[in-house]
Amino acid sequence: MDALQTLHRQGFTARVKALEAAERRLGKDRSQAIEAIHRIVHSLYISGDADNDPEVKETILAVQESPDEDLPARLQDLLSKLRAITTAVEGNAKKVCILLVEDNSFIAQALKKHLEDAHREILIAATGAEAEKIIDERDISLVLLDIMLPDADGRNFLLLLRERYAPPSLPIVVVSSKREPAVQAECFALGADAYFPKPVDPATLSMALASYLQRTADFIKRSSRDHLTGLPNREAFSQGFARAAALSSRTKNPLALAILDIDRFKTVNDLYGHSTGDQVLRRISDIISQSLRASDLIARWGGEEFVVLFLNTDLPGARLALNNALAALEKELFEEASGKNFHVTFSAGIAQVKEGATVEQTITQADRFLYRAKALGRSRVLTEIDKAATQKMKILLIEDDEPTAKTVRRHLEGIGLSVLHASDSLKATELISQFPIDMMVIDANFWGADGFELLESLRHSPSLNEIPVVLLTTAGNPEDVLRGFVAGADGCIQKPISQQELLTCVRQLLA
Amino acid sequence: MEESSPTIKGFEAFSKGNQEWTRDLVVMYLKSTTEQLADLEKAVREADHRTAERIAHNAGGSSSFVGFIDLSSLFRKFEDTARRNDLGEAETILRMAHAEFDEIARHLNSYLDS
Repeated sequence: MDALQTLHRQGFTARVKALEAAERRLGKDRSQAIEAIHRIVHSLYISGDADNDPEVKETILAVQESPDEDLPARLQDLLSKLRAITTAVEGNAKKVCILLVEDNSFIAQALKKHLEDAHREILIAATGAEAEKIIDERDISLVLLDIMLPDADGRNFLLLLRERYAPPSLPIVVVSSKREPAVQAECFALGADAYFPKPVDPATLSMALASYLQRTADFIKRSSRDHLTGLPNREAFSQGFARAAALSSRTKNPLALAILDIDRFKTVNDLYGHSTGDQVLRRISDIISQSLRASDLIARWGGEEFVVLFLNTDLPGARLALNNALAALEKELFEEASGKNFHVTFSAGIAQVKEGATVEQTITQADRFLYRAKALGRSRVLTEIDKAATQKMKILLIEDDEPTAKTVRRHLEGIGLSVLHASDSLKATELISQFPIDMMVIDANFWGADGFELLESLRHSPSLNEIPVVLLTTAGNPEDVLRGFVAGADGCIQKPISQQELLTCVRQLLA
Repeated sequence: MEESSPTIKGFEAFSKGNQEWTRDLVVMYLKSTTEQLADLEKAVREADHRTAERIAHNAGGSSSFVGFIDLSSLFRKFEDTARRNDLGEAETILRMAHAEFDEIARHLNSYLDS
């Protein structure tokens, strides 16, 4: 059960509690209690919480259609089924965090005792500064704010929260002894979602929080999830990375990041169609997610790439976790519409997150090991502690124009590749005989030879015909591109060289 | 089931009926309010009206949270007089607050002893 499901569960739990409270009122104020029961049961029905459980749905309908005299018995039946659902999910629930900013330690502890349960963790900050630190490091789903703080006016802190920190979806509930309408209006103007004057009825506050948390879940689902797999998207992952990196920087606990790429996924799409490809991606994301810990953050980075952030984990630990995920995936037999079966694997690179490094910088590090894993035959996980990973992939660049050669070398070395440069065919032959080459970048028109002929001869050589080749052609000669592909090029790039175009092409071919 | 005394009800609203938690909250309330009253006396002696105002605000918040409205009102009054820097008047209110708290503490201690 992930955090989003837990947020949804808040609304469900609140309805069950409200139903229990209404049941207790049956003996005292029967007609009002019956009305309340019908309203809550209807709310339960339309929330969709029972959609996956036909038995519960049927019991809800039985309560809705019940004559008043049978209502208590049917309600008992419904409550026992609902409690069973609550108990079943509590065991593996990931808690949502509520930040309580309150300088009065007695009130803070009293609220914590009442509001904390199997789904919620209450974190207490006595000052604005403490609250800022917690927001930097933890994934906060709601802020409960007293606006009279020892180090700041809580209204300034509210403004700061809305300006600098929190996504607009974060509910902020003010609890304050200030009862003046002008203060309440100001808080709403600054971005508060609710205002509870003290003393607050704890049960009402708890129900209100459940309602806000469920609405937040709906918002998060729309804005931060990948539609195909349901995993967090790139933006949500980047936010999670920033929080984890801040925490790791303070605690000095290791943090590891992995990038995974599904092997030969293009072939799955080409052979079985995009609909099967989509199903495969969904199934893969389930299998990998299930084999990770609840604290690991997995996201879809784009296309057939996934990223995983391992908290408090060193490289051997992250490698072990991903090897387990890979073993689970290798066992899975996929089936396409006509009944054909096939297997899918992934390759992955892992990097330790360095202090101060951005998510992009860390992914570039992990990318290097991913490409190495691909080059070594795919279906494997590599990190910098693997001997095989320390060997850089070698690119042979055949280009007689020095400025172009320099530019290409700089771009390729920037992503961790080793570049061997030949400015004529003689030197190129010598380098090919000396080193194992992983890829070639060839100028179509270099001095003293014809790049197309060289490419054709490579394609006829049994030892070199599988090496990927990128051909550099001159702008304004579109026929050269066609000629290049006919001669056996895997990619063609027109001069002047665009860094993005070159790296995208090279990455695709090495993957 | 025996009906809880009104003195304890305010604590039970937060502890969800868990007796151990109720006792924890009662102990915490007694300790913090006793300390706050002592701190208020010190602030009055030292004519530190800012500190007096802040502590009275906190003490009033705790008492109102668990339903001790009379005591909470006395702390609020004290807070107002401290804000006006009228610590002479504050001293009188403080004596009343002490008496009110002694009565509450007697009930709470007998609950803890039961």
